Amino acid sequence: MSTVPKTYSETKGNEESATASGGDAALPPPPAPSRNWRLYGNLTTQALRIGVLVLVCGLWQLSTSLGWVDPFLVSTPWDVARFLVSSLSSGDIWPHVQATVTATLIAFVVGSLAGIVTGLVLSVSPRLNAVLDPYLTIANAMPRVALAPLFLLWFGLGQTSKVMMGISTGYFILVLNTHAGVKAIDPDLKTICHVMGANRLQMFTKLILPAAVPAIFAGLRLSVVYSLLGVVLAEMLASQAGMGQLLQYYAGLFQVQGVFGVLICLSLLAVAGTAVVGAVENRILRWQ
Amino acid sequence: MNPPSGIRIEGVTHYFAKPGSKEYTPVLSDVSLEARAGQFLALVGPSGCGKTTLLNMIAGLVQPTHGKVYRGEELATRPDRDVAYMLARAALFPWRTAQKNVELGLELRGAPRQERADTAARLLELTGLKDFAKSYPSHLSQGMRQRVALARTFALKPKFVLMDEPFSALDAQTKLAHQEEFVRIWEQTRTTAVLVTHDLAEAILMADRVVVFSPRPGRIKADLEIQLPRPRDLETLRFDERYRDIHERMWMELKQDVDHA
Repeated sequence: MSTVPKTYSETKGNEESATASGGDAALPPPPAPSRNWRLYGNLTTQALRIGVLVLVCGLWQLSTSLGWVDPFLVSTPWDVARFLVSSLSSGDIWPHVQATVTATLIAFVVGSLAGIVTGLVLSVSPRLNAVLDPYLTIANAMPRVALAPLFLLWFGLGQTSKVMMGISTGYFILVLNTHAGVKAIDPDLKTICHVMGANRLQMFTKLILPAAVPAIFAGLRLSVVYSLLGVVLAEMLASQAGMGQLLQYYAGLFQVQGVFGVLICLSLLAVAGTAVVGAVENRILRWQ
Repeated sequence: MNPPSGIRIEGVTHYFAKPGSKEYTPVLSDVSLEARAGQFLALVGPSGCGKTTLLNMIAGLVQPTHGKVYRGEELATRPDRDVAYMLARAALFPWRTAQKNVELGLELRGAPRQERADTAARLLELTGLKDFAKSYPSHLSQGMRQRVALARTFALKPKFVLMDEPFSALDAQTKLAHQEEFVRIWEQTRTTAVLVTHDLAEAILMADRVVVFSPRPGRIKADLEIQLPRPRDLETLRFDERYRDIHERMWMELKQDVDHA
């Protein structure tokens, strides 16, 4: 609405129709923000990012060429790149990537689902929660990677022991996050549900479950990385295939470029996993 | 004889357990009250006088230590679908659109989809939110959220509307608009309504009857029928002599109590 005071005779004339049509401000709105600016801003950031990478690699390369550090111990960016290209193109690395990714996916799905279910069950049953709470705390506090030797003993060198390892690292994150999400539910929403006569099942499906979703996704983003960690660790200790085993292999042969190459692949996998969870989260949590 | 959808409170005395000890604090002391069906009752009193506790008893969320609370013929021992409840905060479900929030109560009752959508559309229209049906609460202003809560309250065609300081979180102007809106909708439905507030002016402007409580433990200090005509236009009523007269008399009465305390 216009802020300019008007007399009655004025408002009856053309001005009123102008107001009704929506073109009512006396002064024009500010110009639309320039897209170029955003583009340049992004481009600058991107350029600087690449600059950081170039700088780090350049220093790395330089310090080895000048003999400051021994390339036998740290390799060089050039050798790492050559290793990556050759092992990716020859396909030598693929069976290992496949083994690690498969085990991580199974561990992530099974561990997360089990964790969510456990968290929800504990949330709706305060008695069970009170009984189990100290045990969960102990199990969670224990450095679970220390279970790896036991798992190897029980499940052998195949997929099972690394999957179990991945489950054990991801599971508790989801238990705790889901439980925390339910505990943080606004008590006013509970009152409203109660007063409207929601039964226990409706309380669960209409309130508890949807309210816990943000905390569950925060947990999933973490557990995707932690599942990978568990799997790689199990592979490093002993396994028939996998990127963890490959790391040990190259380190044992003093092929440092191989170690770095596998590490880069692992990082990319972890980032990709987090990105997928993030994309799903953005779709589901549009209301935030 | 109980009225079909009135409220009767019989000799209610209530204690709260002090957290971490075996002692009890008295909250309400021998409160008896009867509201006829369709009456708009306001419970006024200082913080901690037990007025919210009394409201929760009517809702069936709290059981009195002594005494009885009836909704209609029925002892209020548990929540019931005839009761709608409004809080100071809108308490909307953030993952539901405005429309889905209004539909919540009907959804819990298993009402068919079309009926839910029709009811929600009617009430969003009534509260001036037609264009925001598909908006999530995070995209609505505080005042709009409270209007969604109002629409949700009336969507169930409740026999009892219970309100706990529903206007206290709003700024002065929005508050008046909402009070007017509520009175307008209430005057169309004439459900039994109980408003808990610490604002005496709000109580007199809106309600048919104002019950004033003493500080904790709450007992009834004053009980007055407000003989102002309906429908009420709160904006003009604020400057009406009859309103000012009632307000002044009640204020003096309460002031005396405070001075003597």
